[in-house]
Amino acid sequence: MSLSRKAAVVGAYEHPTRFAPDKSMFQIMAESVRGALKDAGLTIKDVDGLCTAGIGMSGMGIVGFCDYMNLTPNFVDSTSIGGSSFVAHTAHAAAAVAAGLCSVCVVVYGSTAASSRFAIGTGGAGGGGDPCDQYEIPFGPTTVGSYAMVAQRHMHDYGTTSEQLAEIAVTMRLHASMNPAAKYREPITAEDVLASRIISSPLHLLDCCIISDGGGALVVTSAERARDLRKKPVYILGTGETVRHVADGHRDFLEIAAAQSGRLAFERAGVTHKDIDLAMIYDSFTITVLATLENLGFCKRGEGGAFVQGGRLRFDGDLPCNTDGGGLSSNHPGMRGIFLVIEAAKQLRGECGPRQVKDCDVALVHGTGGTLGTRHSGATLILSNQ
Amino acid sequence: MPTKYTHVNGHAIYYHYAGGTTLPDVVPDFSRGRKILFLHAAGSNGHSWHNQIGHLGATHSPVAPDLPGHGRSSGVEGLASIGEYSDFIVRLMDALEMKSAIIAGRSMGGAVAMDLAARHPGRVEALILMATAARFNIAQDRLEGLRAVTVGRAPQAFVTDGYSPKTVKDNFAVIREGWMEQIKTDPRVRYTDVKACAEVDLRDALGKIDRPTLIMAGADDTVTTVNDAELIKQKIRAARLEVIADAAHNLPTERPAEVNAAVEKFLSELR
Repeated sequence: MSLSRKAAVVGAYEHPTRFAPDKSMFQIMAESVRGALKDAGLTIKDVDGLCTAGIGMSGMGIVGFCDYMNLTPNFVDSTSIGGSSFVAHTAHAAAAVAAGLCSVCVVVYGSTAASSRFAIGTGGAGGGGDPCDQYEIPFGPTTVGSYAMVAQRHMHDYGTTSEQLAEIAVTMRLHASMNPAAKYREPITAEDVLASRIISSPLHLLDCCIISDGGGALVVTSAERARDLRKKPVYILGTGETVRHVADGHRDFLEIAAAQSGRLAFERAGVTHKDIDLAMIYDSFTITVLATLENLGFCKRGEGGAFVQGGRLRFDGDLPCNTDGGGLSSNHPGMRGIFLVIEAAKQLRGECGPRQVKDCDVALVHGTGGTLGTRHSGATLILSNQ
Repeated sequence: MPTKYTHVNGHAIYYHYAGGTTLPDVVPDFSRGRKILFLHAAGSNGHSWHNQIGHLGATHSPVAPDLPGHGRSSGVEGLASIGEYSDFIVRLMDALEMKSAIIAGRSMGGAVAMDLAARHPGRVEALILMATAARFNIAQDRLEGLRAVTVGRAPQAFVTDGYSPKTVKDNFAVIREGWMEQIKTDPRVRYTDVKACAEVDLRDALGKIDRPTLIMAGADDTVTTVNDAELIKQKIRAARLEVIADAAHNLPTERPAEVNAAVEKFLSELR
């Protein structure tokens, strides 16, 4: 039984805030759910499925949010695998709807990382206390350091340069300049990126995502129901998810979860790379984008540096990427997977104004969660407006 | 010292005040003594007035907001000009149900206070201007330095040049406290605030101000000098100048007792 085209995203809403010290995480989430339901033309009474996860949330946080919203859903999913969680949730929601476990499933995220001042990448090691951590914590690893190690390896093996990584940051900032809600919108140059201070070699400040408050929500329902709702449905064509880890020290640093989750998504969707009009690629760091593009198969291993040069990733280039400005410039409250799906939905519906990709009919979304150099997750979706 | 949120133009504005707390949508009681609205400096926030609120709060109604993008108010950007800030203050006063108030301001806050008195005189009962100027003298490379921080070329500089040598020597805790407050606001907001100060010229507007005015300057202030204060005094009719010794650009936190005493004396003289 194929999941392809059985379900669709029918509501997509990104909360406009980037700093909301007056709101709690749950408030941002509730406002996002309201926005997504309004977008879909549905009400809270229609909702019988809920997916969420969050850094500031305990394992039972989803039950707390149901209390806040007064929901008793038939389907709950709090898969918590880092920033990709919401990309995986969208796939899980589609499967739940197709299997008849629920009929309208909301995927929601919210965070006050900036106003509550919790470390999302520099200070902490991104979670600890699991048995595998004992082999690493004594050496003082950090989240940004884990990503920097992948960049070091890529530069060592293939001569990839900081200038090439910088192009990714410059393009994301260009896109953010066209997104009124983005946190940083002033254009930057590659020289700005290289002149910004080193956070963890070789990653400069401007190679790293911003820190913001934020949130968003999606509504997923069956393809049939989608046809009667407010907007053009965004059909889910293919999905894939997996994890990568240290593999007892035998890990190939440069092979990331996207290699597997991407292959699954492409197979299940029945499309090829040349069909993709938009790539929403989790950009916790510039290296995340480069490594993901290689592992998804948009270019060969090692060729990522050349691939991202020459404006290829611009909204008007050959493979538009992160047209909202990404985590590098627009929005990154700690786990940004939901914004990938939201922007993809908006692009596929033609709602993006000055940053609209021409003839955008098929979009790929890839979320990365956790620490790329040690333990991370990957979740891929292929979406279409047809 | 209680704090609260109100909403102005889509911003959630955090403010510090004195007296009893009230429910979220209920404006606190500002009927004690005189209403005094304290406006903070570039990149700062309302907490910088805690010595004034603490002291004056027993007999008056002092209020110190965090301007948009500053401190615990929402948003990631400040406003683009002094004029936009004073227009904002009018709407904030509406939200706080303040028809008028005594407006106090330091540095950029002082410029906002002067602009408010010139363009919205009905809202201003009197002025208290601290460490400010009608026209700021801001070097281009100071602005460049602040901009460099916003693109990661330089870290925020821990400098003591806003403080008197006496504060540096005997009261370093005040400087550390000022630093902890400064880093609560995005460096980009500090940059755009200082830029707004560099672009404002209130010299002609001063002639329009006809409210009782207390001007205070730190004797050791090199950012806005005693001379800058004198220039303001010359142009505002009912103005008096007090120079505070052993204080500089941060006089409300450097010499709070002297500042509070001067303010109280000024308040007692008002009708």
